Amino acid sequence: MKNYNYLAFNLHLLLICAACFSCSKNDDPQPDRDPTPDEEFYYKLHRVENLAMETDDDNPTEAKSAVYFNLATQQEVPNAQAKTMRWDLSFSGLYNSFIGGNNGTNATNFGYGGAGKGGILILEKPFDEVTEVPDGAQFKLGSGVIGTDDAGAFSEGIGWYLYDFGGTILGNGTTEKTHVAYALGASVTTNDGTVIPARTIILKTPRGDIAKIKMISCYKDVFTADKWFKDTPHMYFTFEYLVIPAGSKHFEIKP
Amino acid sequence: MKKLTSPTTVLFFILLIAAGCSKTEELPPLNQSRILSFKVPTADGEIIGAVDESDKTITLYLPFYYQFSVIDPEIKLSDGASLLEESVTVDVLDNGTIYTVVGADHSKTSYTLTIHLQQVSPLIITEPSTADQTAIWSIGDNRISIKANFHTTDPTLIKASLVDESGHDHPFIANTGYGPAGVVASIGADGKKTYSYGSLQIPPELLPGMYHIKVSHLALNATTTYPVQLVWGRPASFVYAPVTIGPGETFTLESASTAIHDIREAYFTIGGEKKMLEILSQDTKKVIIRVPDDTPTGTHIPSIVCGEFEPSTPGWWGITITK
Repeated sequence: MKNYNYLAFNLHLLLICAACFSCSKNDDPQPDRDPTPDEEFYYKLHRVENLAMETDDDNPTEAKSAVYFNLATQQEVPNAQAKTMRWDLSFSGLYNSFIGGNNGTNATNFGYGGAGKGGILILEKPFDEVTEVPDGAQFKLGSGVIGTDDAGAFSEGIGWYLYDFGGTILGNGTTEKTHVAYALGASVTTNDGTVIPARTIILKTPRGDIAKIKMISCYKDVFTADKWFKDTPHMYFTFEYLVIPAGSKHFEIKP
Repeated sequence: MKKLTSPTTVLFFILLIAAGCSKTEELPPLNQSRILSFKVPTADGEIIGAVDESDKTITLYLPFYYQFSVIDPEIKLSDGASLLEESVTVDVLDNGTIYTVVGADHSKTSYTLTIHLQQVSPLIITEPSTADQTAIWSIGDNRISIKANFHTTDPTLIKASLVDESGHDHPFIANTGYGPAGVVASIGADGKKTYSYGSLQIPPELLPGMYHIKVSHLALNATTTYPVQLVWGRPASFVYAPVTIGPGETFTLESASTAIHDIREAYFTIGGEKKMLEILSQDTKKVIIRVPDDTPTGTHIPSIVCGEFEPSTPGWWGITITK
């Protein structure tokens, strides 16, 4: 009987201790959310669908506020945080269709003054064929520097989309094919037979990581040119990307 | 005397001293829930905040030229410690942000952040009016510029408004048809740097009267001594909106800048003759006009007459009338 009491006492003590430990676990602090990406983020193909921009077709020449986007969290970042390292690329200008990186040293960059060391460039090469960061890559440091392509209207150099103002460059000339923005994630052939190679954006993030980005569509839920019309809901950006850590050179997908 | 210097005595004293030297004072253990450093990364390095362990404060002096509206600090903690709060950005005008550090030993320490924003003060507006001459601005005008020693080229850090005679604030519109407001810096004849905060629009819904200009840049505020006078003006630019309609149908003419007021006529000029149109409704931004049933087909440029002003017209684009 004495032994039984001794065992029971110890068992109770054990249970009380276990209960105490399990209770104290709830009081443990939650770790603060570090905005830097973890290792799992790299060497993976990521996709963002229908990233919505504020659009007003009644005022097509009125640029809306820039949108700041974090590739790791796939979240927009508030405008007030423009001078932080919390965003990787910006969408600005008319229809928020001009893209830039996050750089603190360039006075035309939204991140000016901050610690961002980012930049952006565009290649006339399909996404899958871009296997490494080009030697001597010259990144543009300003904001809104990659947008309309020379093959379309209102061109501003090599761009990520072709704007078919009159619907005659890629469209069939009908009204519904006017004012269509063709994302150049895949190559296209214009009505006069010119082949426009696919474009791939190379982005240096503010922390020096490198991303390659394929812009796929500006239209909601539709990702191929045959389904893009003047009145298809826009601007909803769909794009895919792969990020490699700072200092790396080769784009590859790792399991 | 001999006895005191004997080897035995010397050895005794050496051992005594050695024993005395080996006695260590135990320092109180260091807190395991400390902030070891507080840094704000910038384009040219970092700004270091002073962490004071005596009163558990962090003091940060933030120069104006970084043009930060928020800071995103990098905080180094004791080994194994973590922050209780989520890592968030801090508005530079917010003081009293608390950081609670939880140590590996579950101890907690709270630090209070104080930001000293180092701005050049006072903020001085270049007055559009003087004691003798009042500046006259058209309601809705979207080419307004305000000059002051803002010491920033970031338009998002500046706020500007018109203050009516009742003391009510009416913010300028900072994103117009000509794009978002911007700041341009220039050196004046006196060698001083002036900043022009431009492409602002006077809200078209305001009424004529006297208004003071009020601006703020982060923690600094200023209001003009002399007011400007707002008056109705002549609309001169319209939002591009050519349409194709049939006789008897309506179209909308929307001003891109100066407010629309007191429209007395609307018409097409066809073959040198006025073809009067019916005004269905109007506000300060737009007018809805009906085309008469007997309007000839073709593309016609509309005109409106506001008050005593000369006619206003889009000039180069028109309304196409089809059967």
